[in-house]
Amino acid sequence: MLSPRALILRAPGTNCDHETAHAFERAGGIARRVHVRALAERPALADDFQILCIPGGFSYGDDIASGRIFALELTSRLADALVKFRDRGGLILGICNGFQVLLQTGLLLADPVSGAARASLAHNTSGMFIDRWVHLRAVPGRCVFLQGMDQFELPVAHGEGRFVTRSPEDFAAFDAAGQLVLRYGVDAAGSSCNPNGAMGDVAGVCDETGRILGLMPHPERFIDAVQYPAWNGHLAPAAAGAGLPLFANAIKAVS
Amino acid sequence: MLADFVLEASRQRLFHAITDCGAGGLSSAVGEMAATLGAEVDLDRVPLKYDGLSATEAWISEAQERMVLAVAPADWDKLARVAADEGVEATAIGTFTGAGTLVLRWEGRTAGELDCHFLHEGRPRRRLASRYVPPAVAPVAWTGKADDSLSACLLDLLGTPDIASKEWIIRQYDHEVQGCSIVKPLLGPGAGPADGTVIRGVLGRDRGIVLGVGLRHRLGTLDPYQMAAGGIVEAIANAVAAGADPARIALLDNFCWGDCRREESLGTLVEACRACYDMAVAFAAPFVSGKDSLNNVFAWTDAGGTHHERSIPPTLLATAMGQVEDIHRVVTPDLKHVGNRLAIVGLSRDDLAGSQLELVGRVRGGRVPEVDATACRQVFESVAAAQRAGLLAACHDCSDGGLAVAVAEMAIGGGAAARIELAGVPLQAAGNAPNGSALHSDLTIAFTETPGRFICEVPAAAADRFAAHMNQLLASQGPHMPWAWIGEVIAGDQLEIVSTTGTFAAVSVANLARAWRGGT
Repeated sequence: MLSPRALILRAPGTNCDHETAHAFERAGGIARRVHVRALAERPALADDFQILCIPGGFSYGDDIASGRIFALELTSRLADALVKFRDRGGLILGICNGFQVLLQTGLLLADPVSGAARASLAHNTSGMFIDRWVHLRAVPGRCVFLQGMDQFELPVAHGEGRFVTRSPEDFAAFDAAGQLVLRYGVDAAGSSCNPNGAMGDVAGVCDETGRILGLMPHPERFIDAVQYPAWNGHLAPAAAGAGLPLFANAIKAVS
Repeated sequence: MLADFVLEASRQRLFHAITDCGAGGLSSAVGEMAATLGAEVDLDRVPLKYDGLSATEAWISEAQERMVLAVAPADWDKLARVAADEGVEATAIGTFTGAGTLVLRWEGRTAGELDCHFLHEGRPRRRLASRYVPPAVAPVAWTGKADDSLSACLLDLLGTPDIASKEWIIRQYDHEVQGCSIVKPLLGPGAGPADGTVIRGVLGRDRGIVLGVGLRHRLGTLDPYQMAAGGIVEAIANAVAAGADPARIALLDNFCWGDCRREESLGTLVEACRACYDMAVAFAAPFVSGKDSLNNVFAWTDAGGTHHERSIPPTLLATAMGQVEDIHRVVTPDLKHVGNRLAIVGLSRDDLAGSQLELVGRVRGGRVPEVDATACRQVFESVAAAQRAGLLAACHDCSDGGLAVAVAEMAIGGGAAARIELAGVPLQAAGNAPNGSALHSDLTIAFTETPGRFICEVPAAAADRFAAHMNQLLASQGPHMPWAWIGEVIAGDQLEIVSTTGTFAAVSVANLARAWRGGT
């Protein structure tokens, strides 16, 4: 069997596409960075791939709101292609800005009738961009990306990452459905790692099928031990990072 | 978008030269690129944001986010395709002609024509006078309170703006984007400060790029030569501590100066430039680029109608770029393991002028710390060799706040305790601390800022090999680079400093961290 292929969809301002492609390749896949315009011109490009990933960055300069223009471009020009990709069993991953795009395109947590977003990512309560490492707890359920993952650390880097739902009832419904699969945990001193004020410490969510995942932390930035801020003297330098299993799970699921 | 476009066009090798539109807009960018070839520019093809601009305005507009590229005609279609893909507007505005003349056209007419040689070389050279009079060295005066202590000084020093944690600003920048940062600005279990930072050149490969910076701005008004030289040495030391090969350093300068039409300001600039030359030669480290911001002057008229002008202190920010063969082998400054030994490499001198100890009100006057480039080079080579040989667990240069602040920062980063003994520190006392009490001697050793010194954490099992390595260099290279064991990583939660008279100063690492983070 040929190696699974991951399409890394980039737009102007996407700046995490190279390391995301690298992460899929380290996990045993073949990754191709494809510009959104190229895919819009030829949606059939997606047929060659089993995984589609929207990486982090500041797509279109985050003008209007994070991910908004990218999401509009996707829905206006690629909605059919994305739905088709999902419906034929493709995996979809959105990281940071890409998570914001998935919520706004309606691929994640949308109202099944109206298609309206039932959740969004608001400005951090601090009002500031933050780059730091957080402890995370995964409750994977049927989310294919997080299988076998429990507690681990990853970096976050965002200004708009505060997960909020349209209503408390929506939150309870997503919770009951097992879609709130990744949460900020506590550090060694027992302090909360929630960096943005997210409801219920939610860091990542999946769709009903578990085949679409959006998350604020950056798994592609912890593929090797040496990317950890305290690796030196504490981790074997050649060891894998805690983010690699997420990509390996995706590759395995479509192999 | 523009950056994505340039990177992709570069990857496909679709242009020969590139200049960004900064001061002077197209006039400067095209003018520089066409300095020898000459060019014809159709200014009416330049995309404008507003109607009604003149040819002159199109030529000198400093609108941002614009680049001028030299593109072979055969590559134009490919370049235009990349621009369209990236959502960037690319317009052909002219041709490099080879005629040595710069011709500007506007709506079919010639709007300007000048010989390039005349344009670049024709203007008369400006002559400015400079004068430099070194300020007199003030006698040393100890100005601390009677009940002062090593611990009180250390806690005060950790909170000065130069030394205190920069975490509040570091966290607001994405310093991990693209996944290549290997030694980050905050590191270790305690998120302490780094010396230099290390960036993996290409994902998945072992080679790394090391960046270090140095700034000795408090020396600027005292001795601009030593300010600049000390900054350059600090930048290289930071890079070497982070694993850079000292034989392969490239430098950048960033001059921030006052009104250089004043003879005195120009005099300090000449002193700093002499230092740049001397250091570049001494360390075989070329300046590959730089930046200047001159004429930083504040002018005002007081209530009595008198005009005043105040220039900023002469300031050089130096950046050192280095390389490391294998990022997996670098060491960071945070303390690692109980039982490891601590060594200082490099000679300390009792020159406290411009020091952080002066800033916190403990001392005034004295001489500024001087760079001994020969000694620094040998210290750099010895530390780099020890690191290559795997003899180090941690390495930190001594800069602002000297030895004691360096060890405190290592303890904060590692969340580890340590003991150091000041009596063992190799010191060249020039008698610059007269009338000093025992405390004053201790403060001098603990906090003097002599350039070109490192604290090394050495695994206990490697201590003999480290000592042999250093002693061999000491024997072969003469007395330039003394070193000594000064302490060890200990169990517990305190930094203990044993004074020259055998008394103990002890501060918990938690309190050190709190002071460094701006708490009380």
